[in-house]
Amino acid sequence: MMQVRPNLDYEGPKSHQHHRAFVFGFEYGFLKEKLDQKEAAKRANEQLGFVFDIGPNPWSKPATSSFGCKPSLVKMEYVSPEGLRLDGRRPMEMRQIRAEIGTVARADGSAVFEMGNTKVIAAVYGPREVQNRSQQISDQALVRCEYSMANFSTGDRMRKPKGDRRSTEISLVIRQTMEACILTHLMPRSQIDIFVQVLQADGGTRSACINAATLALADAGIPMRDIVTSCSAGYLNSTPLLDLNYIEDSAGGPDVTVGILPKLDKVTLLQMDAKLPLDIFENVMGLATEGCKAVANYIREVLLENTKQLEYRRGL
Amino acid sequence: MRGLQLPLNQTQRIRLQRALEKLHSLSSKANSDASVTVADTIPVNYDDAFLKGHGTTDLNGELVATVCGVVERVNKLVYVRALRARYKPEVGDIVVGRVVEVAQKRWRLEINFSQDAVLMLSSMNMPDGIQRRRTALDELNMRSIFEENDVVCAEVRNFHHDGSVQLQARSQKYGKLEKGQLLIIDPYLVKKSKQHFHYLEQFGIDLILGRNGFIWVGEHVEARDGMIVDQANNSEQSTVEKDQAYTPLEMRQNICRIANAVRVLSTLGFNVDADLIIETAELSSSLNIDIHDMLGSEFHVLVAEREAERRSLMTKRKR
Repeated sequence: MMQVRPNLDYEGPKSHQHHRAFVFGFEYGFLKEKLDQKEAAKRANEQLGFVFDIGPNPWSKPATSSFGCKPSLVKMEYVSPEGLRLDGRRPMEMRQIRAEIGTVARADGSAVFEMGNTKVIAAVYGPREVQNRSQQISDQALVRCEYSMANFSTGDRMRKPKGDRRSTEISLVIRQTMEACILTHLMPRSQIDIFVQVLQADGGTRSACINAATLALADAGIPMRDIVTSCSAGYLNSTPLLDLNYIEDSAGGPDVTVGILPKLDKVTLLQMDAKLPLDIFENVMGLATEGCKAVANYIREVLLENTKQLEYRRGL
Repeated sequence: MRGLQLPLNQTQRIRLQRALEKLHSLSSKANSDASVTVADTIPVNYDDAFLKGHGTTDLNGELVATVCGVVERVNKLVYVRALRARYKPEVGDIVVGRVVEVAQKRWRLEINFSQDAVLMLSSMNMPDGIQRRRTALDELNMRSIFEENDVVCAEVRNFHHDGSVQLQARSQKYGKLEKGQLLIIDPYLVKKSKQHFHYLEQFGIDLILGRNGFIWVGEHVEARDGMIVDQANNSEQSTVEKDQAYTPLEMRQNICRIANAVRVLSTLGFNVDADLIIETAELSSSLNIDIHDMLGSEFHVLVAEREAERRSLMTKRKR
């Protein structure tokens, strides 16, 4: 089941940091020293090492604002000539993953999943009685999912962590992904709630959420067809990169998120921003799938270890 | 460890680690080999005819697990026993539940199952004890028997076609539970045994181990009824009721001690049965540990060590 969906929150260049740096440099030149546009842009270039392109700007604001330049895709180096990325990884290398089960004592199943600096907590409640009778389905379980980001998860404190378009879209995506693998017909007239919250966001939150939700569902003992694992990959400086972090993600290049069922070898989630030629897309998607399989091995180990531990502790 | 967010100092951590390693070495190897996770293939001889039980599914001709758990084989049946799943009711199980709703001619109880259980009015004994047809008046007076948030003990009667569970509370030992504490633990820690109602004489406490993981620890009540006081005898019984409504301090302390013993055992993930609970409570009182200190790290480590010793003795005895 492949779903290629448009990225709803793409409202222009995602490089907030670059925006701010650019505006600062430009305003500084323009206002402080009363230089003209071209001179100010040149100054900003020298100060910040960015390349600006001064041309007719479709987003130009009225003349009073100094923001009149269009920031092009910055020629920042994401892969050095030696083949190292900004955080020292190789292009095909994933960030370090870590998973922990049973962190929320009250929930039926819970897990914390970390991919590098991205940290996500998932809690699963269910199967339990449907709280809203009208939504009850007589022959299968109802799956509900809620994705939210903690206020402190990003660099700037977030104003509206829930209910905005991005959170609603990701909640829907996670719900559809998990519903595809849960055997809902075994639990009629019941409800399964999946709550996922991002504690630290550093790129790849969608993937980390799906992985955490899988662990939590397995911990809760909910029957599933197969575990779902997810990973993202991108294409910057003509190199496919695995597992983008926030800086690489904000570069404005394509970002492919893949979710697979490793044993059945089926794709349940496929999302991409920006554009890619088809042959490069195949490469990048293949790379992300490999990343998913690596995550799957790790998740399986963690679950097996947890099961063995519970069993021997219980005794006979 | 689930729920164990205790601060352990270095020595305690080492002791706990050692006790758990000992338990690990004592556990039967067969069991740990049989652990599977989701979508793991179950090793089975495909030439023999076998039955696919719960927690398994057929995938491209091979048998695959759908939950994380331990593979069990009973004669020809192969199934996967999930550890931390919700309670799976069986007919005749004793369960303790909390009333969630008073509906038409029935009560809905929460029993840690995927749906709420139903206790029909006709499956309850009437206050006057007479077996008769339930009238509309009985239906209007349902709230005088059980209200919302009451704790009730009952037995699983049968399953509905849609999977929901029907309970019955016809005997004297079932009914409303008062003057005690309800504890919620994981259902897999309570094993099916001959006796689920325990009367601990030295403490004067009733202990009910519900198979759904709801444990009741309360003051002992003679000939427990699900009834209320009959309206006619109200005046003479009201004064008696008032005296009985007061629970002496020692009784309350005993209830708390037993409840904390159950909490410690469930946090550490050990099987909860009456003997073990009594042992743990006696351990704490013999070491003069305060009741609230029972939930501290030191007592947890002590219980873990004690359990490791107990199990090693048992295995030695078996050999």
